Amino acid sequence: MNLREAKKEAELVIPMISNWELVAAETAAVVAALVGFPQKQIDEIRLSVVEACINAFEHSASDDNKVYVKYIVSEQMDRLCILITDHGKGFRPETLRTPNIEDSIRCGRKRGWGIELIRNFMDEVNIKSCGHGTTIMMTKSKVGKEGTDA
Amino acid sequence: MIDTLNVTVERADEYAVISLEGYLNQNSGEKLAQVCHQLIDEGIRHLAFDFEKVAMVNSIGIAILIEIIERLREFNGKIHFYKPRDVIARTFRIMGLTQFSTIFPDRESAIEAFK
Repeated sequence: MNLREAKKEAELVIPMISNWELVAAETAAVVAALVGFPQKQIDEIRLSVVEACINAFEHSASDDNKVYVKYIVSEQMDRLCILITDHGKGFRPETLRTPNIEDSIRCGRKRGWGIELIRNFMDEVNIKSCGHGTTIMMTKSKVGKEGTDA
Repeated sequence: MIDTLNVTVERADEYAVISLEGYLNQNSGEKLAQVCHQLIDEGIRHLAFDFEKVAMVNSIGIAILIEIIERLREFNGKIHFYKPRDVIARTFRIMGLTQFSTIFPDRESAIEAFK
């Protein structure tokens, strides 16, 4: 038996190809199930990972065309942190604006909902971005908010 | 490329029931939009979407649903959804789709509300 228990972490690299976001999302679902999250929260985590990955696919313009996903389970097995990283051009997170359906219907601007959904479904969301990449760090606890729109 | 969404259409006089199975994303959403626009061109004014077997959606796929809502609004048509997973129903609410469409618990109530 090891004196020090291995860290409960996993890493995955996916290509920026449509539907491969499901590989990252299903891996997140498996890890969340191992941690003991209820199905409702697993569904929220899965959808959040999909949104973070397709954001990277659509907007990063990275040269390596890869998304790097890291899953970190807390020692107490009560929290899952997922980092989604691209090596793209980055953006200024403070310029993100909250979309609304009225704009979508009136102005034809139907995109831009990904981060808003992630913020609703995860407990904490932090975005770090610079000229050579973006990382979205999202965390969910087993005993956390169930979403603001429940 | 795998086909991520199966689409099945049942037609009545003024409405159609569209059953979906799989993942609603950009590619499958565009395919679904083609089916819906064809139905609207043929005179269908109300659409009921069976979401029971939709395992996953993304915001781009849902944005395409908004385009279908826009088109039906030109004809005072209605869009009803029934049996979506909880996370999908909440996604609809967050994105505001429920301002222009209604979620029902089952097929019968979704169709009855067209009458």
